[in-house]
Amino acid sequence: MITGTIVAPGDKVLDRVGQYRLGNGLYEANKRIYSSIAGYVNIYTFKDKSDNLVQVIEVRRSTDPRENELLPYVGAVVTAKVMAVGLRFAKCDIIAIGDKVYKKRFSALLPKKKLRPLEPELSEPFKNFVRTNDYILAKVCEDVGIKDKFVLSIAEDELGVVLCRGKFGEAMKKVDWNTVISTRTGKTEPRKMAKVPQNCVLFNDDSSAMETDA
Amino acid sequence: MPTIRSNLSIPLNELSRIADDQKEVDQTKQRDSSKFRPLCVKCGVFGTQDGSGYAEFGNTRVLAQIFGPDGDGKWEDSYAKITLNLKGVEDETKLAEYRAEIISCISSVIFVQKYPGKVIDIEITVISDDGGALSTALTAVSLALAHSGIEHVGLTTSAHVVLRNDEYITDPSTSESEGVIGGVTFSFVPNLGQSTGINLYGRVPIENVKNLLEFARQKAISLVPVIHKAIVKSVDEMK
Repeated sequence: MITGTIVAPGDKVLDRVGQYRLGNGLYEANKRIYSSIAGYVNIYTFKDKSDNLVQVIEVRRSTDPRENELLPYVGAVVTAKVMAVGLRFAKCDIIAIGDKVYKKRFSALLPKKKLRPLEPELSEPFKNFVRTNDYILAKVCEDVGIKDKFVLSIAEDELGVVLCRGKFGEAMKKVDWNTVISTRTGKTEPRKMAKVPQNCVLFNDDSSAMETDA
Repeated sequence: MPTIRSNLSIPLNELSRIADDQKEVDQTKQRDSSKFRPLCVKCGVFGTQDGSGYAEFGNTRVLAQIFGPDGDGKWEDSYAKITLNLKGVEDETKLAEYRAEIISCISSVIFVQKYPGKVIDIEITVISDDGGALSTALTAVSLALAHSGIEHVGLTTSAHVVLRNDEYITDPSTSESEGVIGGVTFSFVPNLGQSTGINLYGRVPIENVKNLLEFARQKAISLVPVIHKAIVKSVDEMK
């Protein structure tokens, strides 16, 4: 199959998997590989951990990677609003992926153990990190237990609160990476702020990555 | 700057290709009974919609739209819920029959496990019904699915054939299907060779059913290139 061939759903892409690894938009039936979406065939290579070249075949809908995925995908950096904070989870609504705003919000969960890296369970309360109505930058990650909702993580320096408001709806100013101060009352509150990179590359060819230009 | 909300492009000249007052003309005399009525299919009608498709067989015109996959906050199962909103069918018996048939056809085609906790809402509008609305609706949904990017097994084609005095008529209009013994709407996925829906009605003799189904299958296969071409064209335009 030549790269760039336009396929409709159900078109046979390969007779067998062969040396390729299956990417998005393909499925295997009767030992043959069929396309499951309409788009064009794309083949790319990358080096895996043991330095072997892996060829991945996939079907893409458009050249823009954001258009390929209908839903937030694992590894994507999304903007979310914290709707409610519980004991073990914070309920969030995913608003946008990169600079593409979704038509409808997707509900997501932010578990307590995904607040800070390398710490299984925190004794600190949730409000030291995020509070209701905060806007956060978070990464979508996989969780074996939760399938029906997206699971978010802010366990990176670049991720965390980007916009928050105080008790009276006033803007909060950042003091340092863990503290914000109210512009009206002068009261300080703890938050995990995001170190938003100046040069933000949200999408690479095959996976999403953030690059800091400090 | 004006906001362009959609790139609606139902070809109006093709819509008016068969005038409405021609409905009563006996079209079987003009066309071969093994051929379809003049048809028009389009994948991707509305630009801002998640997915849309349009199919027209003679005077039967159906528009299908897809909303989603969205999370509604209530559905928490490990697979996607598919809901159907069927408009333009007034007869309640027909409505229930079509709804069940379409839901079962679509659910068997979509990879629902890939969208856990999501809802896929399908809206079908029968703009005009002149026989074979079910097969036209299934074709329109297949086109809308291809446009939406929701992963599914493959395109579905469907054909409506009737039996009249040992003669099979393909895709008859309402006037042509007078005095028929019975008929079948057959839909299947051609790449896997699996049928997704068979809607048999009337008093078809049991010994004729096999031949009727085989005839319908052949007719459905003959539609594959047309639908395939429409989908490929829409991808080409998007690119």
